[in-house]
Amino acid sequence: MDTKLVRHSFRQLLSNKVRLALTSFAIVISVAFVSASLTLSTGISDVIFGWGETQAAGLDLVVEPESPFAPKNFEVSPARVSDDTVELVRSVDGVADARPTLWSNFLFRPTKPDGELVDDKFTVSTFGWVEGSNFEIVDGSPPRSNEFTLDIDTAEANGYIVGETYDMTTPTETRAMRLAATTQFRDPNGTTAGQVVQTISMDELQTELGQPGYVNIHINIEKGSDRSSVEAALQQALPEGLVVLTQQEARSNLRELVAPYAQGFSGGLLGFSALSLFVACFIIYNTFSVLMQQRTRELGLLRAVGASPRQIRTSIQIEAIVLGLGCSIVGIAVGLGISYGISEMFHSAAGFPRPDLALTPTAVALSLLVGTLATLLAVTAPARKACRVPVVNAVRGVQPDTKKTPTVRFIIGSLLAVAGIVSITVGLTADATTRSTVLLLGVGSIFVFFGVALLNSLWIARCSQVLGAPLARLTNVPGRLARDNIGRNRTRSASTAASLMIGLALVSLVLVVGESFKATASTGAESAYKSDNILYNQWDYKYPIAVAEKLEALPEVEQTVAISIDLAEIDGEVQYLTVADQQTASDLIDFDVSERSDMLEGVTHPVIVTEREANEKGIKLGDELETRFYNGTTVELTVVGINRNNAAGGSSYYIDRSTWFEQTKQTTVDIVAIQSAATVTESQFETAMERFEQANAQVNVETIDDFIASTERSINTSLQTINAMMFLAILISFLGITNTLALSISERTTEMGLLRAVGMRRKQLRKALRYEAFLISLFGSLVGVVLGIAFGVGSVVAIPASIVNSVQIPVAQIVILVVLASAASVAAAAVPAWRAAKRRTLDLVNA
Amino acid sequence: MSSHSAIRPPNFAILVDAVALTLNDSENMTTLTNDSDLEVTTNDVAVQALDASKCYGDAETLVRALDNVNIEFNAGQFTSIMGPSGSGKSTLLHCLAGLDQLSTGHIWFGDTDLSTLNQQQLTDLRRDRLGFVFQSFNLIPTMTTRENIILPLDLAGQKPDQEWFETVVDSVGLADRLRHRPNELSGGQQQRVAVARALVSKPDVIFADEPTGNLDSRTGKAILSFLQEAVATFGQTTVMVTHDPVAATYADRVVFLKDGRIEDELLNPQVDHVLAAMNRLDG
Ligand SMILES: Nc1ncnc2c1ncn2[C@@H]1O[C@H](COP(=O)(O)OP(=O)(O)OP(=O)(O)O)[C@@H](O)[C@H]1O
Ligand SMILES: [Mg+2]
Repeated sequence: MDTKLVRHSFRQLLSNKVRLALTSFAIVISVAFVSASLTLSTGISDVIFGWGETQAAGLDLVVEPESPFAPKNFEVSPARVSDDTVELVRSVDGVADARPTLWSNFLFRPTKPDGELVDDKFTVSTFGWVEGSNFEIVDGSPPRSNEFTLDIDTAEANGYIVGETYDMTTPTETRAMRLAATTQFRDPNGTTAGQVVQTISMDELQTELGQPGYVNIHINIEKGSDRSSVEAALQQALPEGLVVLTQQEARSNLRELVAPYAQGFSGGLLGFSALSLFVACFIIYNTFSVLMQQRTRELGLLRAVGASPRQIRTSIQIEAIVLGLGCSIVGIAVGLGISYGISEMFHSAAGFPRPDLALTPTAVALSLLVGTLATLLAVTAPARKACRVPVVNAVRGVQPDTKKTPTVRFIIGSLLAVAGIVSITVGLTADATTRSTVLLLGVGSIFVFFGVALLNSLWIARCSQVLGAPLARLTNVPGRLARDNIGRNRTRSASTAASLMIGLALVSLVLVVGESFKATASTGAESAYKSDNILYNQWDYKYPIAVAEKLEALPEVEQTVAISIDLAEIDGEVQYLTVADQQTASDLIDFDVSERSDMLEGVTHPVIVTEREANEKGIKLGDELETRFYNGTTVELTVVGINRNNAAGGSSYYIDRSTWFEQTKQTTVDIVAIQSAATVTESQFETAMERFEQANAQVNVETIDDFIASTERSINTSLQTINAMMFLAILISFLGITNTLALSISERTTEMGLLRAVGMRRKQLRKALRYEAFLISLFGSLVGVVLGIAFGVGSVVAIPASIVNSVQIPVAQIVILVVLASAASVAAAAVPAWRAAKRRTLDLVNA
Repeated sequence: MSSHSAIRPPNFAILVDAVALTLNDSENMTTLTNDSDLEVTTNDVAVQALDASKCYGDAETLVRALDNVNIEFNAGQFTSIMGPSGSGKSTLLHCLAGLDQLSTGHIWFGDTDLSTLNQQQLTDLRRDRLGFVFQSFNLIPTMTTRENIILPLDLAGQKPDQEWFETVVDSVGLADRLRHRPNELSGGQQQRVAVARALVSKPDVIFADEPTGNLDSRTGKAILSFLQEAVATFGQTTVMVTHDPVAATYADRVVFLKDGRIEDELLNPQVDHVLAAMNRLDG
């Protein structure tokens, strides 16, 4: 009996091709997104971690300065490993080879044979040449003065020729350098991680960095000597502040260093795939609940002739497993295609390296599991429901009574929503750490979300009455039909709307947070500077302070203030701080000081704190703030002022350049505030700046207004990337609307035949169906947007004020979003509506 | 075809019964019969089939559902169509109503040849000049009784004539059910709503395909009486397909179909005559 039932079940499944296609499509597309995300995140992590692996390859021990946390962009100062240290290391027993390494990712950018700067989107890493390092020459000779080498991939891709001379830009000048060689990594698994990797002579790199010394020392030990005893001997010999790491430790340190980036990427992707899975589950569930309703009659017949509900459920579940598995396999293949597409998108939008995209067993297993399980879960409840319908009703095709209030939904929904709101409230008010705040908010939001999704079915009928009222008045029958059809199966309408709700909630959340972030950034920049222009590096890398000095020497420039932005651990929390010369800073920077201590003179390590931060942390004038820098040194900063504005660069703390130099030995800067000379005209100044930019290809001069605009532009770009992903999720939910509508149309064939028989025109029928989709999506969008705005405002409140301090709700954009979503769902509904209206009236009547 | 005279069914008692059953306000009746719109016209042809044939399938599986049918339905006449299952009754009705196209031949609806109309014109014709009653599933579940009744008018964007609407509603005895939805009505009530909807747009012809097929005989009788009453009072041309010889006698005329051809016809039918004709048909 069971196998017969299963066979029957399959015949049933295969008998309606459109239905099968729509169902399969829902599963395929969701599995595709899951597998694409998994594949991409492995690929991208491999790229990111591969860079660390490459650098740790082939060495036994590493000596490097202690560093409790990584500085901004990993731009370490070479000052603490000197030639003496290298000699000292070499003298230790058991050390076979000690190679000092030095690198920078900002100083040198070569131009390509065609004169353009090489790969202006991603990093250029410049290493000092050392014999025996993990670089290996493919063609040519090691770089001497005024020479450089390039990784073979970049050289080949751009047509560089060994022996030719190319323009090399540095922050301070453009000079001609000869390409001495092409290189590759000794380690066969070595990867450039999509960067341009070049070497120049060690002397030249040190000169450009303005300091002698190295970042660390790579050590190989003598054959036969014991690694741990060499390690101990080294530790003994080395001065304080330097540590010895094994290859393992070095590797895991490197991993740890880049982990946030890899995690950011794969976290984002996995979050996105969870989102698409979430949306897809709604769609699969919808599809199957419609299917089961359509099959209630047939299942009733089976039960009437003696099949038990359990037998029927089993046969449906087997059907679901087979369908889920089959579609998951297709989905994995489609997902691979999608991941190629996305990696191309990343590549062309952000210059991100193309990862090796291969299906890992984990990805395959997880995708299969997810697809099959989701399908199985999706059929279980509808199948159970179909079996609960009394046989008589099932056979006679009596519509289930949907008027009954779904109390279980109501209770669970309300509980979830309340729990979510409590969790969010606790997260926002309690004095918790950032991590637990984020956790409370995240979990709370998800709870609220599910709660609302469940509760939606309670009010969707009433809401669509209200939303549909103008339509009904305007178009009469089609509008009324659309409006009232939504109430017929509220659960289904609600879950159709829910998939759109998720998408729009996330997009509007991102919009609110992004807009607030943008507003904070631009008001910060507006109020922070008194100068009329700004100099900065377009890749957000640092450049030597010499650039600022050169600028100030120009007759067109009245004054400059150099600003560095970096990280420090202040009172136990790693935070951004702004470095400026305290003697001259106030000339071009608007501190808008609200309180000032008069003991400024006697203080060696002064700090100015923003009012907001001071209030939040309870900091007062004269307080001592224990501050640790990335190289492990610690000082007590004395609070000498409280200022109203955010600091330039958006941080909450200003320290003096002398303190920064004393602690880190860094002489590089991020931003230079420029005041044009009063004696020159605007155009004279502009000409001078253009000349300066030409000579210093890596920096830009912009007016404050332009600078704000370009800051906003770059924030916009990241927002767009996030939203592009969201739009994919929304796209899936449009497919869901089409799918659900198409299926529920087939439920109403006879009814539509009747309408057509008594004189409804095709156009009117199409309208009715489109309006129905419109109302469902309008409901979903509105609820989504309300939730999104609420979550967005919550996040803005939760994010530290130093990053976001004003709540902005981009009303116009959100309205456009709702309009677009509604328009798109009307378009999505057009196909099934057109198909239904196209059918002959008689076929509909007789169906 | 048959020359026609104003026919009154002989079983007058049933008519009186029906009037008593469905009309509780005789004043309305009076105003109605005085209405010049509703003057009983007896000699115009409302709808007519000329050499009508309908075939299904291709050469091997050819089914002649209608085989050269010639028939006319006079205005103000109540006609039943009978015949064995598969004889083409529904097909004829669908073709007459413009729901289906003939393979060859013509349907004249008043002065209009249906084959000259496009889909939208056919739809509008159904909406404005035809009424339908099906065997089951006659009503839109999301609409109230009132909305279902005025649906054709709503679709045309017209306001119902309030007086006429009330007359129709009163005569089908649904005045207190106007706000109910189909699932709150009995099967008989649902059919009455369908009849009311068919009447409300004052159509040229009402087509009914086994309107009492799903009802018990008492409820069926009420519906039939009501149809008959509408014919008598409003001169409503009506064409009804039925399997029930008793139901057929409510009509002025019975037409018998077999294998897509008209085999026989009775005027002023009596039950025993109908049964005899059916026996002849089978033989
Ligand atoms: N769509 C179709 N395709 C093929 N043949 C059809 C189609 N519709 C009807 N037929 C055939 O046409 C003939 C007439 O069918 P029709 O439905 O008119 O019969 P009927 O007299 O209404 O029968 P019943 O009393 O059972 O309703 C039948 O032989 C039927 O099989
Ligand atoms: Mg029939």
